[in-house]
Amino acid sequence: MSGTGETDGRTATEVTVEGFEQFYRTELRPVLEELEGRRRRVLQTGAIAAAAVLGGGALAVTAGLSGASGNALPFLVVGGVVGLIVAIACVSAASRRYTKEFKERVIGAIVRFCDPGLHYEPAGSIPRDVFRGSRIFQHSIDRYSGEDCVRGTVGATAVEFSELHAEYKTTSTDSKGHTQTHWHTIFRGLFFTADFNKHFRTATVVLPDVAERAFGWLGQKLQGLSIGRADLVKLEDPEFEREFVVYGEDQVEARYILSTSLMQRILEFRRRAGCRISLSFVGSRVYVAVPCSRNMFEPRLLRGAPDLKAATEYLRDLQFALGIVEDLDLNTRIWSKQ
Amino acid sequence: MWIWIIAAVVLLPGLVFVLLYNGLVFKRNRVESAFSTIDVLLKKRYDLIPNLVATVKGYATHEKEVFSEITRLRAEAIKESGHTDRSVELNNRISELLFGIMAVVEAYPELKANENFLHLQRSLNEVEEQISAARRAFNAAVMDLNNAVQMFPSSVVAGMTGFGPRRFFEATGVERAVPSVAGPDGGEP
Repeated sequence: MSGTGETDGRTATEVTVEGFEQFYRTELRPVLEELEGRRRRVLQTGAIAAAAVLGGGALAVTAGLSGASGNALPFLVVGGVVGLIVAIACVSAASRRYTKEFKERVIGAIVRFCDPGLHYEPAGSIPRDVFRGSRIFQHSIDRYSGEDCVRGTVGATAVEFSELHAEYKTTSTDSKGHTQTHWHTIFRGLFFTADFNKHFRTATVVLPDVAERAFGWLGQKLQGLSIGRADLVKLEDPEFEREFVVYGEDQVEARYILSTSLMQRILEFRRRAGCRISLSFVGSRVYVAVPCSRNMFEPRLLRGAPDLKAATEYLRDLQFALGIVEDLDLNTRIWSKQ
Repeated sequence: MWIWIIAAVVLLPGLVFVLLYNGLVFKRNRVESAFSTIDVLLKKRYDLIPNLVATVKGYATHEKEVFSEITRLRAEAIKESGHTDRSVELNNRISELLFGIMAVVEAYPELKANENFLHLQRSLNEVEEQISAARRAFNAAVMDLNNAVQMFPSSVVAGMTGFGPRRFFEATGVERAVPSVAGPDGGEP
């Protein structure tokens, strides 16, 4: 890779273990040690709150057992509940403050270390219309949230990614007339978008293949009938066809985008991700959805902050996302789009 | 009751015949459409050749024969339309010569700094890859049609209505070896 997004001649995916360890020792560790005091204070707040609630509870039980005045017991119970709510609010506020500062100072520093051209927003996310516009997921969204957004340029490619959680709801009513709302996940994981290196006008969507794997030839026929999707594009790479199903508005353009080398690269990326990835190519951009139930880039309150292993995990998650540029070879600019 | 059974016995095969026949026509039309896309893209490539020759011949003066041959082949290919053996042969030869010209350019650093040439090189890379995509789409359409022509029960309808299998497009040695012309950074698509 070459281009503007390099740091001392290296890129995000080329960061060495030694280089990161040195960065950890000189820059990250002092910050983590400072944050360690805050982490302990959050835990102390939690411990005090828990002790107060337990003490209050014990007092109420004792009062109840000793046959204290009937007037005092309700006050003790109400007081206990209020105390519990206040304690939870205190701990949660302290934890949020710690998480915010940790992300800004630690994750932000790791992002800048990977590539100074990148900008990190802990509370930012890929906008809902961008997610919808990718055309990977067709279900209407009722609840949408995201965090840990990284934006910037890697080599010649403008990239943006964040964690996302998109859900829809259903309601059911039981025989007694009670209505219950159920939330269902449409997508949860890492959502990545980048400027693609070729011009194209139409949309092409690459989804994990379920039908063909399960039902073979009949499954392929069923894929052709998929409602709301464009035409089925049958590609010549049998391994790619086994893993993915492709829908495209233009048969030629879908193949122009999915060159034989890109199909191989997507297969390799699929193996590296180890999960059912989806991609789409819309408006000269590529969108990649990597499902993941794990919450990335989060501090661990129960573990000491100065932790090289944890810091290396943040780096790996970041490299995984930034590595998509190299995985899909987005920096090769030999066509008329530069 | 009997009328309905007789009507079903008569109408059902007719309906199946119509559906299978329409399926074959749809697949044949897709092959024709895929072929015309290749034709359009080949014409796009023909349009780039005069500019390329004009830009390169000022630098690569020793390659006069190559330039005159590619110009002649281009003129001939424009006249020769359709999926004929001659047309395929002409275009294969044009691909080989274009690849040769791009290889020769490596010996002329001043040409690689020429903005006009770089733009032509990018456009050529793009059209070459589009042609390759169109040929893959054509082969996929031919495969669909050939499957329908050779597989039962559509093979029966194909035999009765004169549908035959079509020939696949085969990549030349140059196209197999070189997916596209290497760019200024030496990258491959």
